[in-house]
Amino acid sequence: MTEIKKQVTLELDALSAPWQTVEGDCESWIILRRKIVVPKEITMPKGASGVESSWETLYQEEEKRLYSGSIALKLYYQGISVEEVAKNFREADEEESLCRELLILPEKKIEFPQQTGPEELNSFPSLLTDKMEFEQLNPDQEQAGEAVRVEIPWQTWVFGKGKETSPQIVKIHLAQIGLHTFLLELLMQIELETEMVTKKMPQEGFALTPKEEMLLILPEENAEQILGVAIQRALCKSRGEADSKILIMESLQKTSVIFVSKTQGRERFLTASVIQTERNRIPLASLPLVQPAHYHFYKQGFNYLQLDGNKILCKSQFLWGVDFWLPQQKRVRGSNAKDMVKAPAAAAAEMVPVIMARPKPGEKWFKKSGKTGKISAKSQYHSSIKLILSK
Amino acid sequence: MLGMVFGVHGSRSKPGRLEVEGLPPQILTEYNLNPHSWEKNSSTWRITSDQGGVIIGLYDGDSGRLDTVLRWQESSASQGSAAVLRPLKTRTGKHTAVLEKSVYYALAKPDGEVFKPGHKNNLLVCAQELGLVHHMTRDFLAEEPFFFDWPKLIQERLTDLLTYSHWLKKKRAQTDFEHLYLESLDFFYNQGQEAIQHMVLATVGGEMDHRQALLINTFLKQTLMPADEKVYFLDLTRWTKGPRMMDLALFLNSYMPLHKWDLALLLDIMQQYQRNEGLNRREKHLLVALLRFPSRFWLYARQYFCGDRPPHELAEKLKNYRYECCERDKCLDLFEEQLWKE
Repeated sequence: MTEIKKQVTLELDALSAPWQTVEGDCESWIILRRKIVVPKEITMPKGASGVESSWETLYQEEEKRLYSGSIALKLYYQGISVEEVAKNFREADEEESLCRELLILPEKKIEFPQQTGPEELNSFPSLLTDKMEFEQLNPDQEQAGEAVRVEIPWQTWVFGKGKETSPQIVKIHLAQIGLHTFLLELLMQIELETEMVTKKMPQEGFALTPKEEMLLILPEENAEQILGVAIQRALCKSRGEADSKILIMESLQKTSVIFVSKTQGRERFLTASVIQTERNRIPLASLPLVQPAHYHFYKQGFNYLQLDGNKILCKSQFLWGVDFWLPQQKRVRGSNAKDMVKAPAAAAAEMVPVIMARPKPGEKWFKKSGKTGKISAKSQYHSSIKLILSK
Repeated sequence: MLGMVFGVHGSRSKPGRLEVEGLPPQILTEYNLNPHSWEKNSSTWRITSDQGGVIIGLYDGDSGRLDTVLRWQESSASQGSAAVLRPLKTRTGKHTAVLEKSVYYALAKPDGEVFKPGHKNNLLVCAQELGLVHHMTRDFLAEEPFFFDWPKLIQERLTDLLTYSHWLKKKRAQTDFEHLYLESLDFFYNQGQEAIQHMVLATVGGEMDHRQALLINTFLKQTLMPADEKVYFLDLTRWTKGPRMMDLALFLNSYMPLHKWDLALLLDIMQQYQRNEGLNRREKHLLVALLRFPSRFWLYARQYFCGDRPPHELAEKLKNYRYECCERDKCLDLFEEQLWKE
């Protein structure tokens, strides 16, 4: 199999709150975001611990599931009441005079800078907690300082064929973004156990894509850690090449990267994505006359590696397949359904070619000589017509 | 003190006359001054001379307006009523000396002290003198038309605050100042809305029933001088004509923060100010509007987005301003209760 090297630049996805999702084949990533205002002024955030979590599947079909759940956390911090804060009250004569002068001047047009300069630092702390640490914190053991309980409901679709698994909390980000405000980000992943990987690859109607090596380039945002790469396919269609008995499948492929940004003081769980068109050729023993009813995609091999800077080397290989008919129990009976419910092989045998059979070269002369004993081309022609008319 | 330059010994351009840095010797000649020592602060010189203490100022503006206020100062000072300085006259009998298009003026400086805003008595005396100046200038330039567009100004400045917040949300706040700004916006915007309501009530009825007066427009520490049991206003060159509450609000906003918006002090100051003339209903609304409006929140935001001041300095100032406004809010709530009872 040849390796295809490709370089693709991703675009940062727009931030979304209170949830942001990335769907892939057989996996979904969910970023939950909350701003939490606490009563005391925060002097130091100390972390978060899980209190309880629950989930259920609200709806399920063969290739999609709606997961729903809730997570309860406790946020710990050191705080101080407003009365206890050391304040610096001073005369404001110069500033009030300046204010009086500027207020009455015509409005100055301000050119807002596109990027925050490097000299403008954020001094509020930002804590990242891994899944392991999250689970190790004992919620029953009260920590010194203040605590606030937060309950976060969530819901997401997971597309693909596979065995249901539990959602996993991958990372937690807790940042102070004001004197009384926390920004909480929670990253979860739901990944189905895919069956196709363990089964022997079917012969008919499936094909492996060539092994692909793709260099994903993230936008300017600096990535501290890559947490996942998800691939999702949609708008599949196919076209046949009757002469060569090959089905060409086309699909839109969305590649998304979930990563932790180095920039503190704001949201750090970010996603970037790109949409491309991909194509694969599936050879068939014979090309049916109907459009495929269903398409399959399975990961055969997939891994990624974060390189220096914002580059990610992604190596993948997928199995593509088609079904021309849906399984028995999924069919909907229509007015002519009885005629259409046939096994594929039987249907092919009763089909007659539109193009009439051509006589073999010299056949009519062979009959006259009596050497071959075969029917004449003329009578063969007439028998073909008869078959069609009876159809 | 920043900006002050001192001089005692120096070269002498004329026998017996000390040179004053930055001040052309012709000006000293015009006012017939022989300085012994001097100190310079921005565009004024404080000179000790044979004639006593003198303040010489370099004026940047319409010399006609300067002349107007100096003539008023002369008449007030000669009566000994208002706490304003007596202007000196040049050799030719004028109040101002012009040299190469630069306009200078001179005032007789009393032998006073440094204004200490931490001393409550200084504030009370200052408020009393301010009330007197306003009372005396009720008909100051009565024929001059008056235009008051503060309600529109305040509304525009509140809109600025929203514009800043929209931009910050779009680009995602990152620095300390940006986070503090967004966190505080609701609180300050509500204060601004309340100020607008009072401003509207202050102008209801069409005709502005606000006593017009000569507005001093500056209460910087260096422009105030306690002397002779008064507090003198050293700089009237920025004068305008307008509602007297504009001056009172500026004075209160300048020095009440130092006293943590002490309600008792505020009531005392109001009492001193109203010794000659009390406030009417519209003036009370205007005063509350100007005290409520979060002018420094707007100032810090403007300085941040224009890059006028370092971000970390503005973040610290904004933090302190929040604390101050919590105290101010409580004080003004109680102050209003008292105000409407009067």
